[in-house]
Amino acid sequence: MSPLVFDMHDIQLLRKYGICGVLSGTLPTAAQQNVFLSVPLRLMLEDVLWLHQNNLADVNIIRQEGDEIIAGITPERGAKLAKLVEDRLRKSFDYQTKFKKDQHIAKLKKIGIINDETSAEELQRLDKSNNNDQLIESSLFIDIADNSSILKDDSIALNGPSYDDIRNLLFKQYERSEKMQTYFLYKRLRDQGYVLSPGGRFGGKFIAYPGDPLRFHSHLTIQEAIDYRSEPIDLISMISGARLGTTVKKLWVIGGVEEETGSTHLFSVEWAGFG
Amino acid sequence: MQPSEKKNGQQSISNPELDDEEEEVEEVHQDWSQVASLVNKNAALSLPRRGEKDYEPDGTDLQEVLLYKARKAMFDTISDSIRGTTVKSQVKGYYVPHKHQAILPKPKGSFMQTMGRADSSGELWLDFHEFVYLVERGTILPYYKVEGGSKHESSDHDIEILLSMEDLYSLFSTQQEMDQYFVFAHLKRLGFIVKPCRQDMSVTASYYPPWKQQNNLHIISSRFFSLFKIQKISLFSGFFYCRWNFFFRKYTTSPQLYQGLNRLIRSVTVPKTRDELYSSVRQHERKMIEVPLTFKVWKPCANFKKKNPGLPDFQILVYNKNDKFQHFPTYEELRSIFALLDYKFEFLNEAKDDLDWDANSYVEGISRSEYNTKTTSRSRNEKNTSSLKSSKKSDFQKETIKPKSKKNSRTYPPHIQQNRRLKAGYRSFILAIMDNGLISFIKMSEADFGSENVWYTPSSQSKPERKLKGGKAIKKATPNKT
Repeated sequence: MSPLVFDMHDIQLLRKYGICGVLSGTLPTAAQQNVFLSVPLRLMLEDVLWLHQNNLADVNIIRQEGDEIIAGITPERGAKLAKLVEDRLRKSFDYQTKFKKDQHIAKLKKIGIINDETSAEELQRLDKSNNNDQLIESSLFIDIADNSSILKDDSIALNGPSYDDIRNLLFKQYERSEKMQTYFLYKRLRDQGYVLSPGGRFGGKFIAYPGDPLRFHSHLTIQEAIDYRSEPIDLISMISGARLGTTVKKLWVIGGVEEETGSTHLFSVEWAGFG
Repeated sequence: MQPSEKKNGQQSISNPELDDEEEEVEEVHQDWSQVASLVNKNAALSLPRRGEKDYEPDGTDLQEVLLYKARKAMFDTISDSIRGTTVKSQVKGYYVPHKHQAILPKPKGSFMQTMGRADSSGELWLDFHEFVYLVERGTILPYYKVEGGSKHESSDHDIEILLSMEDLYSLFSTQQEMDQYFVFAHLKRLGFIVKPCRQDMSVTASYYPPWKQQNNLHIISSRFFSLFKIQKISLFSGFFYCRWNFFFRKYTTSPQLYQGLNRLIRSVTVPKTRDELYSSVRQHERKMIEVPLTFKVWKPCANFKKKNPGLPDFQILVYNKNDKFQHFPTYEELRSIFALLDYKFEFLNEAKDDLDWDANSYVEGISRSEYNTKTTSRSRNEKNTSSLKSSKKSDFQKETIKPKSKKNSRTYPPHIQQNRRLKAGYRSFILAIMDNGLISFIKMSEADFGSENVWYTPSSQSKPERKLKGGKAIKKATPNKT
C-alpha cells in the first residue's frame, strides 16, 4: 500500500525536509476542482525509505487488514474510543457555542437592544425567549478528524520491531517492485538538496526541483537506474527523452550505481540543436 | 493513441488547440494564496490562475518571503477547511466490514441521484469508494457501530464511533482498490458520474443485441469468410512481398506505389460501422483475455437514472505504473479490451448525426427506447391523472428538441472529417495511469491509417478549376475504396 500522511504538522515538517508528496484528498471548501487538494498526502516509497534511513520518521507496521481491525473492536474498547471522540466533539461544541453566543451578544449590542448595563438575568431571559439554544445546537459543526485514534492504539501497532528489521522489510518491499539502484539515484539527488516528485508525466521515474515546488520549476527528469557496466542505453528513448526535455525545459538524466565502489553516477543529456 | 483532453488538475484554457502542446508538458503550478482567498470569501467557485515561479533558489530574502507566503497560504487553507457537517444537516453512514459497504439509515442529499442503492426499507447502501468520497467532501459522517455484546446488556444501545479519514483509508483492502478510488474521486470532483464496470446494475444497457441461436449460422459463415479474407491477404503478400514485386507490376506514378503497399502489408481491419462492430465482437468472443475495465463514466446529466443509466460516455481502465504486478496492456489484451467496450461509440455519429442511442442500445433483449416506453407506460397506468399532462409535456418536449438537434448537426468537408478520423480513431477507451498519486489520462483508440488516402492527387479537372477561382486552394481528399 502506498504511504499516506494525515497529520498537518507532519506534512509541514516533511516539507521542511524537502519531501512534498502529492496531496490527494478532496478539499471540502472547494470540492469541485482538482488543483487544490487536501490530506491525505501520498508519498513515494522512496520517500519513506529515505526518511527511515535518516532517522526522521518512525515506521510502524500494522499486521492486520483494516477490516479485521475494525471488526475486532470489543465493546469495551469501542466505548473508550467513542468517549475519546465525544470528548473532542464536546470541547469543540462548547467552544462553538461560546463563540456564537458572544457573537450574538455583540450583534444585539450593535443594534442597541442591550447595552453594557443589561443584567445577566435579562440576558438569560432574552436567550430563552428566542429559542437560541436550540438554534445554536442545530448549527453546531461536527468535524471529521484526519487522524485515527483506532490505529494509534498500542494493541495494534506491533510492539518493538527493531530499526534494522523495519529497514529490511522496507527494502524488501521496495525491491519487489523497483530496482534497488533507482533508490540510490533518489538518495543521491535528495542528499544534494533536490526535491523529487513522481515523473511519469514527463517520461521519467522522477522529476527533480531545486527547492520547494511551490516556488521553483523543475529542471531534471530522472530515468530509472540502469546497470552501470552492462546495460546498454536505449538510444531511441534517449533521443525522445532529450527531445521532450527541450520542450519542457528539463534535462534528461540517466544514472546508475558502480558496483565495485558503490558510487552513484548521473549523466544529463540535452538536445544540442545544431544544424 | 494520443494524449487525451483531460489532464490532471489543469484548467481549461481559451484556445486549447493552439496551446495544446505547451499545456500538456507544462506542470501545474499551484498558487495556494488564490484558493485561500476563495475559501475565506466563500465566493462563487472560479479556478484561480497560475502564479509565477523562479528558476532556482538565489538566496534572497524576497524569495524566502514569497515561499513562506505560498506555504502559509497552502497550510492555512488545508487546516481551515474542516470536513464535516452541522448537527442539523448531518447524515450518518455506518460502515459494515463484512460487506465492505456502508449503510445510510436516513439518507438525504443530491448525491442519492447518482450514488448508492436503496433497499426495500428505504436505507441506502453505498459502495466503499462512494462512502469515502462523500465523507471526504464532508457530505456524510462516517460511523462504525459496535454491537453491545451480551456482557453489557445493561447498556441497550450500541456504541457508535465517529471514524476519521485515516481509519477510512486504512480500510482499503488492496493498493489497486486505493488507486481506483483516487481516479474515481478525481472524476467525481470534475462532475462526472462514475460507476464501477463490474457492479451489477438492475438494468444494464448494451450496444450489442443479445446473440440469438438463429445467428449461429451467420457467425460461422462470417468467420469462414473472415478467415478467407486474411488468408487471401497473407498469401498475396507472402508471394509478392519481395523484390519480384516490381517485375510483375509496373508503377507509373507514385500514388500507385503507395496503393500497392496498401495491399502488401497485413493490417487489422478496424470496425467502423454497426455491422462491422457486431461481427468483430462475435469473432473475438472466443479468444477473450480477461482484462476487466474499471469504470463506466457518464457526462453529468440532470436526468440520470441509477437503475437504468443507459450506455456510458466513456470507459476507463486504471493502471498503476509503479506496480510490478500490473503492466501496460499488451497487444492481445488491447484487442480484448476493444472487443469488450460497450459505450456510446461516438464515431458512429459521424455518418449519421444525432444517432438515437436509446434506439440503438439494448436492455434485456429489447431496444432501450422500447424498454423505456414500457416502463413509463406502466407507471402511467398507475397514476392516470397526471399521465395526460406528462405525455403532452413529453410530446411537446420532443418536438422542441428535434429542431434544436438539427441545428447542431453540421456536416464538415471531407478533408476535415478525414482529419478527425485520423486523430480520434474509432473505438476508444481511457487509460488512467497512476504514478504515486499523479494521474494521467490517456485516450487509447483504434486508428486506421491504412485505408485513409491522405496524399493529394491533383486530378486533371481540379487544375483548371483552381485557376478559375483565383488561386483558391481546394483540397480534395481522394475517395477511398478500401
